[in-house]
Amino acid sequence: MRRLAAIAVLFFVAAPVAAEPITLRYGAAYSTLRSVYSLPIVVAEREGFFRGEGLDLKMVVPIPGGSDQMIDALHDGTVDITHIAAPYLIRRVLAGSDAVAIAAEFNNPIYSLLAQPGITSFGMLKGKRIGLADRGGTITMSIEKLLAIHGLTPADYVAKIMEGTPARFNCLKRGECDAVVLGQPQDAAAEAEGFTLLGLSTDAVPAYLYTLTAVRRSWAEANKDTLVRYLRALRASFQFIRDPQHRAAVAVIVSETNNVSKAVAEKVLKLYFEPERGVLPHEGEIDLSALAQVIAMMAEAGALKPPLPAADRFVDQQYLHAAGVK
Amino acid sequence: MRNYGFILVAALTLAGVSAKSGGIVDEHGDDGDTIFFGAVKDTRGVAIEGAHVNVKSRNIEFVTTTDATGNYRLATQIDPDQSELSCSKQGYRQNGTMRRTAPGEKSPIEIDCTLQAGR
Repeated sequence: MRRLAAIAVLFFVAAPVAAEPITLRYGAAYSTLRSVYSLPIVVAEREGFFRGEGLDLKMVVPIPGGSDQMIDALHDGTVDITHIAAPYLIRRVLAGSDAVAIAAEFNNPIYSLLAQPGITSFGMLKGKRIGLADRGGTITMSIEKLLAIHGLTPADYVAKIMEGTPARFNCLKRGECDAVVLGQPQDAAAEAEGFTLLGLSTDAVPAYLYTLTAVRRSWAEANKDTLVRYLRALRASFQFIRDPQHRAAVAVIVSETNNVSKAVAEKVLKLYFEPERGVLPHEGEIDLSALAQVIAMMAEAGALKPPLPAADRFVDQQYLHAAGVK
Repeated sequence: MRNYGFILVAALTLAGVSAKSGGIVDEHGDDGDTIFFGAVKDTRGVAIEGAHVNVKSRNIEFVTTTDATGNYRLATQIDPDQSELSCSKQGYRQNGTMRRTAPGEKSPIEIDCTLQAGR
């Protein structure tokens, strides 16, 4: 009898305990959800990488929202961590926020300038309405440089500022914009629909760091284990996306989450990986020189004044290192 | 089993976007939007400004705040039959929700939420 009791005790000790998953609220702008820029998170969720790390990731979309609202969502407690484009983080940190980047999500973004079918050259954009993103962001900075290369200054066209590629694509389709800047996959879809591809942002700007996962330093210090789990899942997602054996599966995810054809999704992945354009990090690693490039672009656009801050002021890599990312 | 619900909801997340600063606005959204709207009041019927309103569907939550008249509005393509609305504000607890739109209607969906003082 005593032996049976001992066995029973051993059984309970040895049996795996199904721990409650840790809820992690991840903030994203509406436009992010409707673009390829949510891909690392969507893949991690779909492939079970978050669950495998014991996380229950909730995607939280603040409305009204937008790239410039996501740090507010961190500060008012709406989200624990957030997706954000680098300039918005930099601006808020310089204004006193304790937010900091803990991982890279997208590098070297490729934005396309698409025009109505009758517009076949940059010169034909004079006096036309061009749909751009927030003037303080790298999308518009890079497209303005592209336009400048082709002889167009801001005085030569009418800028219509809209948040998110889906909104700008709608403007093009409704005929309210003569040209717009689009990310993936809507740029490939637009081209397939007959709109004219005039140029790519990468023709005008060097590589830079685009989107990040950010968190408040105070929250991160109190939740290090949760962050490390998140970063391990994110690393697994990047490795999955980059694995050529998973290319077809990733194309299906891009197709389903963005409501585009599989052919368009495959074209997007080909753009990223054939040849390798460094659009996606390998493991979530942060390239400080690419972040320094963002700071330089902001200064060039008049958004920052000298002395310019060092890139490492906006980054805390201890969590990436703890997650095994080199 | 893979969580296809997450992907499905993400794919359905198509709606108008606005931002408070920078003059960035697109109120058009896409065809098939589901509009959630309504009011948040206390148990005496007084409108509550600044209450958080969440519309949740599986792993995605849309969060907004009521205006000075206690009203909110969210444009999404979340299926209202698979969504759950809640409201909150510090110093209050949720008392209940009242869907005013008939069952089976897809959009707009009017749902009021009541908060009760106290925790």
